[in-house]
Amino acid sequence: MTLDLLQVGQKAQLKSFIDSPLTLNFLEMGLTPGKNIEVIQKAPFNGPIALLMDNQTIAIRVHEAKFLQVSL
Amino acid sequence: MESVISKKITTIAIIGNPNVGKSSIFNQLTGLKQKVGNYPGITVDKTVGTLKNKGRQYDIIDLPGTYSLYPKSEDELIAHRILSGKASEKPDYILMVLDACNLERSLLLAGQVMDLGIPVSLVLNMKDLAEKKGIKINTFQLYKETGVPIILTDARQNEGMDGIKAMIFEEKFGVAHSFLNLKNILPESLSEKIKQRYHLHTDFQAYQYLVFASYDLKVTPTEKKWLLDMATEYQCDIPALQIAETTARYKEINILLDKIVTKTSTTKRDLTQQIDNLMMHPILGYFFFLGLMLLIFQAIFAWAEWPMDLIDTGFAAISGWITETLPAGVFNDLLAEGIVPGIGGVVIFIPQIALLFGFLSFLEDTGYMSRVVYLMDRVMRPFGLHGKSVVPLISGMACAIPGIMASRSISNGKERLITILVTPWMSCSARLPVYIILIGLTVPDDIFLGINLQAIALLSMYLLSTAATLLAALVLKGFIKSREQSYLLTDLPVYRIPRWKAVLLTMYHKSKVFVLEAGKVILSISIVLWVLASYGPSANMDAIAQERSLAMTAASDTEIEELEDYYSSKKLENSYIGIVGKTIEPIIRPLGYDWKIGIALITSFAAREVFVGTIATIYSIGGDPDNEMTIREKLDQEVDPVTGEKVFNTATAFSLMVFYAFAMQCMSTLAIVYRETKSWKWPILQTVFMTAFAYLAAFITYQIIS
Repeated sequence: MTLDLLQVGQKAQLKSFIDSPLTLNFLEMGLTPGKNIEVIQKAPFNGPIALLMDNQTIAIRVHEAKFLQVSL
Repeated sequence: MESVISKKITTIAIIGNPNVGKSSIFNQLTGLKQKVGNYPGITVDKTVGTLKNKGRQYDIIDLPGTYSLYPKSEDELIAHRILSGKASEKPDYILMVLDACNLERSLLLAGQVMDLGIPVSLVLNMKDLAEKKGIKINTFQLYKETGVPIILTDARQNEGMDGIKAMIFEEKFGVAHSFLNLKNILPESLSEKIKQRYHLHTDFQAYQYLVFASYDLKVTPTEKKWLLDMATEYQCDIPALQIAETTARYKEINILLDKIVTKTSTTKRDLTQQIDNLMMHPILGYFFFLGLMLLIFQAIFAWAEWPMDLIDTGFAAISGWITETLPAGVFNDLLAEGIVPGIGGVVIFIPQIALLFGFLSFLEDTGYMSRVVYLMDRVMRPFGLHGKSVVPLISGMACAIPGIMASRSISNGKERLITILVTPWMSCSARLPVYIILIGLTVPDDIFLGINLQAIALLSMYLLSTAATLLAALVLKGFIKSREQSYLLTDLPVYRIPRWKAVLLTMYHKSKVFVLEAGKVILSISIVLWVLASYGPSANMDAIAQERSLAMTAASDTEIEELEDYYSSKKLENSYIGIVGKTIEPIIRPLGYDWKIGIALITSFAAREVFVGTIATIYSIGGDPDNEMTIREKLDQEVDPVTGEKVFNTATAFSLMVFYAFAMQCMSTLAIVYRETKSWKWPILQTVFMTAFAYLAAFITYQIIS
């Protein structure tokens, strides 16, 4: 499944990227395969998703979250 | 003896991820108080500070925060240009600031920086915070692995700065061990070819040449083509190369981290996450944001009122005092009617500008601004804007110039351009005195449904501006084309207690810049205005003077005062400025303006705030010199010589406010738009469109109300 499908409070492990021009951006932010992430907030009306990873909060749009493959 | 020592200047660049406390370190080292940022994009320009020791000078360059050497936005490009020596000479040394709480991500950039071959020193910031989070770092081991000196700091507490200074003065920077093995990434024969062609020494330099061929590179088109052709020949996809490089780096970093970091897992949610439960809440978060904005504006108006009144009456008193005390003559007139009201028109802004910048810098410093980006992204997107556009737009309420500069953190070109083009429509502080004076003249100070009517009028002007800004963005979204993809991927830093000293310094710094920069323009315009309003074509002026002296000798004592008024306004009408005003009067009549307001429109093309100064000057000249009336009282007494009605009636006042809300009347904004878009096309289009729109909107307003 992809990250955008996670509910608030759900934890998952990042598996791989779906090919996109943003792969390098994900890597540089520290979103590397194997990382544990938790969805902590979602902005209303399909707005950005807030993730917790390595004690760091990251905001990402639903559109970008669709490129991140995760497993529960 | 010191003069004998070499004059060579040593340059040191400070680099690091966004929000690692880089700017704090820079400020504490150089004492040069720049804005200290807590959200991406605050260090928008190449900021240089100077450090001196024993006759040697060290120039310290503060680079914008970045996650890698590969630029994603305009401000990250600055880091790349400076480190690669494309902007100026390569720096002699690099101070690489690492976030102890997120060492993995910091080391990605650190590795790339160390591979550049420039001597580096690592600054490990926020180690105490990391230890609280259960992260223990063995710094000696880190030193052994990298081979470069490491300094521990807590920039917020001002700890470790002496260590950095000592290291700089002794020039103890070290060249790091090579961090990355490129053998499996870049084909060896390709590397050899590039090295040969450009006389390079290392594989990494060759790799950099290849990768940066697609970015901003100072190479000629032929060289660029050669490099890209080479990449195709060896089937090297450049983005894939970068991904391979980054992945390989993380592998190395994780081996390193296993040696130097011990983690004790903590499961409890820290304070930042608890605060975010409210700040980023899908409903409460927005209420909090809205409430905060209302509170800030309420505070600005309430707190700024009495110092502004004080300044207004103070300057009127000074003018009166000068008129009475100094010997009468041209110098007295210039001072009392030109310069003093002109300066007063500038100084009166200080309370509001200082407060607005104070609040903005407070929000940045706590880390809240990044949450605003998160909350507002969904709201801004339909208008062709980005969550990050909120920062420029809110700053635009203080002044469009820092707002437009803050747009550099927006990586998408189209969203950035739209942000730049619409920000001048946000209601900046220069419009405020115009609104305040006009509302004060025409809107009664009554309470309606528990709210002050004047406050409602002012709030309406702000809402009108904001709505127009968003609509303009929506229209531009349809016209500006872009194939670039828009994305949001941003860090939300930990909340911090703001450093009051830094907030106060920002307030002081911004007010000073405003007074000096805007003041220069306003003061010189005031003087020119006074001259143009006091002198005119000599034939007309002489005739008036003669007529006046004839009438005066014939007049009785009671009539003299009336005649005095009549002739001074007659004189103004025939002065150079009067002639200009009269000439444009037919064009502005449909908007409800007379020729005196016309003069103010012309002079405030340079800057809106000139309006108040101009009418202050014009009405001082027309009026009774012994009278110490404030500007507001003078305007209220002004009547149309033909109809006998008040000049500043409701229709004219609102038409004027609407004109000032929409017209492009700020030279500095034009200059900054030119600098940011690198072409005259956008600032010219912007001026024409905004001014035409302002004329039309003011026309409609006047016709409806009158």
